[in-house]
Amino acid sequence: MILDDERRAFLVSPVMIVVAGCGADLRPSIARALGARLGAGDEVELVVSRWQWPTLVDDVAERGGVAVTFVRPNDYVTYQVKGRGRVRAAGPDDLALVERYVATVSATLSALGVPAPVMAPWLVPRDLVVITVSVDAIYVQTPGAAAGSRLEPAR
Amino acid sequence: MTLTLSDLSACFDGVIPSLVATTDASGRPNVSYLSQVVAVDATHVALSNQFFGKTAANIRENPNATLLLVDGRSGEQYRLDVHFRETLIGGSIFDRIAARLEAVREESGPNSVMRLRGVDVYRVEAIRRVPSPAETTPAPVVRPRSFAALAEQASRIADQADLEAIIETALAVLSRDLGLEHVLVLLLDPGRGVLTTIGSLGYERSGIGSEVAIGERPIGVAAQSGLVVRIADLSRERRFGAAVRASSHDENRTRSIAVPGLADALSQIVVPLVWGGETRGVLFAESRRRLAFDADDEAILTVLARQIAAGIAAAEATSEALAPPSAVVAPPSTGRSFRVVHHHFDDSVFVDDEYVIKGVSGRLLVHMLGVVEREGRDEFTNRELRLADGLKLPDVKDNLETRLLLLRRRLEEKSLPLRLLRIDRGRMRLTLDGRPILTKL
Repeated sequence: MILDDERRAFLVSPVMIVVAGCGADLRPSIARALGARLGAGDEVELVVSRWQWPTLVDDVAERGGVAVTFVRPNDYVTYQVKGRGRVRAAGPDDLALVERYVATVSATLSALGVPAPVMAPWLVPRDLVVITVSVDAIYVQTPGAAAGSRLEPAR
Repeated sequence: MTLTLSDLSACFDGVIPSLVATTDASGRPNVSYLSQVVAVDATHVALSNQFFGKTAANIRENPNATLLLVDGRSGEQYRLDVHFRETLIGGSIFDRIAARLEAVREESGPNSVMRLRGVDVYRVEAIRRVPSPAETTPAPVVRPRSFAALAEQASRIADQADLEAIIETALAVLSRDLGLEHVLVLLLDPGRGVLTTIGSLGYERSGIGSEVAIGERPIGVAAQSGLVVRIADLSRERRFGAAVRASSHDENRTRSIAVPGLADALSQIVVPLVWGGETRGVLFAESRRRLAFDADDEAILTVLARQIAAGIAAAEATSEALAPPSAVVAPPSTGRSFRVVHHHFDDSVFVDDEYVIKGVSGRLLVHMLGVVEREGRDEFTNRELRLADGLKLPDVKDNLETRLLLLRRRLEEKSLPLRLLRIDRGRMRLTLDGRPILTKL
């Protein structure tokens, strides 16, 4: 197990989630995700708007490689996970996850002084897909001396 | 419509962190937050990368990277395809980013941001706006600005000949014309390596005479580097720290005056007053609004700051009186007396136990009080002060006008029974309401 209880709890707390992929021409792609759910073992499911981020969704579907950064906006505690991703259509449960995520993240950002119209372009639940990531590594990325260090699998 | 980097200027204020995605040679991605992104020219951006070795390693295997930049005003997002060009470890772009990081570090406390080791420059190959529902984009707030208005403002400052009028006119332009609410003007004392507040507006206390050391806080960083420092969204920790500091300051005990500041400022800008390649001080403004100062504000303030610096340089250079002081004897003082205590070790002066000033300005006050006492004369010229043995003014660049203005302002502000009045160029009078009893410690 790479994801222990603490890390699993962090990934599904009100954190900003950013996904990167890679195209056939070695051009990286990028997207924001609108919520995460823990799957079996070291799997994490992310919901992404294909309308906003078509290149990333295509890249993950075609090549599979993903990196996902989770940052807590209050204190910049940051983790990055890496692994293989696969794409499926979103269902009603996924839509409900996005609604919960948008509500809690909006409240968190509001408390930090971000006006609602400013955060709106980051939280667009349109044409949703789910990326299931099989995590094979996790790194600490909180700004500071330990940034970038790989964490050992949890026991 | 093709987007250019100049359309993205609000993305470079650093309010909403930018992101960089890279991959290694096998295509395994990495995504990192960036502390600073700067537009170098029309087709290049520079990124600071103090923390994340993986990004640096990846771009050496695969020079293609993708940036996500966010406009801090509207929230709009932009995807940039970029190609790594080079790493800079010095030069003007490096200095610009280093100064900004240093200012943030000074504000948020030591160890919060690591020192800059290098700056990576990328060529921008494509800019795309990330789709978002159009109705969520608010119209940007734009203040009316025009070149004609700027010319008129700069001219008003340039029309002033003496230091006090230059500072007063500049503050009027900044508040009434530009709508700035909280402003400080600080002048550099190169001998002591400190900046001293000579003018202020919009604070509960004026803070005249308060000091910031070179290199400390955004004010000192801007003075040291000679570069503009603009901070668009200050951290909560910094605000809390400032509130604690402000509440525990007693100038009679510390012999220093607290620098005025908003405990809940979200934006700050510091523009150095540079003339003839020499930094004379800084202009500082802050606001409770996020993103209060944009690139245009920076440009306008830079023009005005240059004009102010030119005026200060001219005022210091031409401050000599044309005639010697008249030997008019001061009218006998009224019956009451007040105590003046001069502490030799730092030239601090207290009047009736109230801290007034220290350093050269303190020596000037004590010297003039001595002349009044010995000779009964209360009129002084810059020339005689420069020649006075006991004052130990520096031979060149004594900043005498600045020190006298500082003294005049402090005496006015503290409502003390003595005042320094300017008569005309290079000539002043020390008026006393009572008899001073001078003690030297």
